[in-house]
Amino acid sequence: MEIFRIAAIALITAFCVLVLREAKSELAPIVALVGGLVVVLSVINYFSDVFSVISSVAKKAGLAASVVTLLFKVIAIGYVTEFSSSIMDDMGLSSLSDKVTLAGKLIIVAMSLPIVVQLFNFIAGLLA
Amino acid sequence: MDINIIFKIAAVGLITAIINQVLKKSDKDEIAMLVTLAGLVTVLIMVINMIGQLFDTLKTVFGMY
Repeated sequence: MEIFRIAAIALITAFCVLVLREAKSELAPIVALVGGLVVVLSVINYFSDVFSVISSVAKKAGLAASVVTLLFKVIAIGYVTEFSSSIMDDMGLSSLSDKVTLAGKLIIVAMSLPIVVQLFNFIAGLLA
Repeated sequence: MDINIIFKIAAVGLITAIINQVLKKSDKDEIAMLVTLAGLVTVLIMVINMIGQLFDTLKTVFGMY
């Protein structure tokens, strides 16, 4: 039932953006940004429910807690990067959006290096 | 909370656009520029509070930092 409210909000935002673009105001992309924010903020609580279930399942499966928290951090960084780069695409600044995406990728790779090293050591241990 | 903030910002955008047209017709372009800036600043303040709220929620939900 939540989805109907979100669809209505998105539609109304789209109309507002069109009207503002017609009036050639600079606030059109900002209204689009706020519309996106409202939609995300209304479903963000589902994130925490899903992640608490995932972390409890991972704990039962014997996964190390550090791996799971790293996974959550990577998801969060990926989401924030995608959020900001899509807004810049809306405004037409594709070069800036590519730079933000590059920065997000670099941060994620830098954060997941220890896990990759751990994996290699594990494989090396198996082969030796 | 959600829908009326969109309407508020759209209203500010529309009003500034209309005032701009009126001021341009009575060839007071510098005041039109000031009106645009004022509208932009007020809207940006509202948006920044919402973005801050989003990032705080993300931090608490994902347990970062």
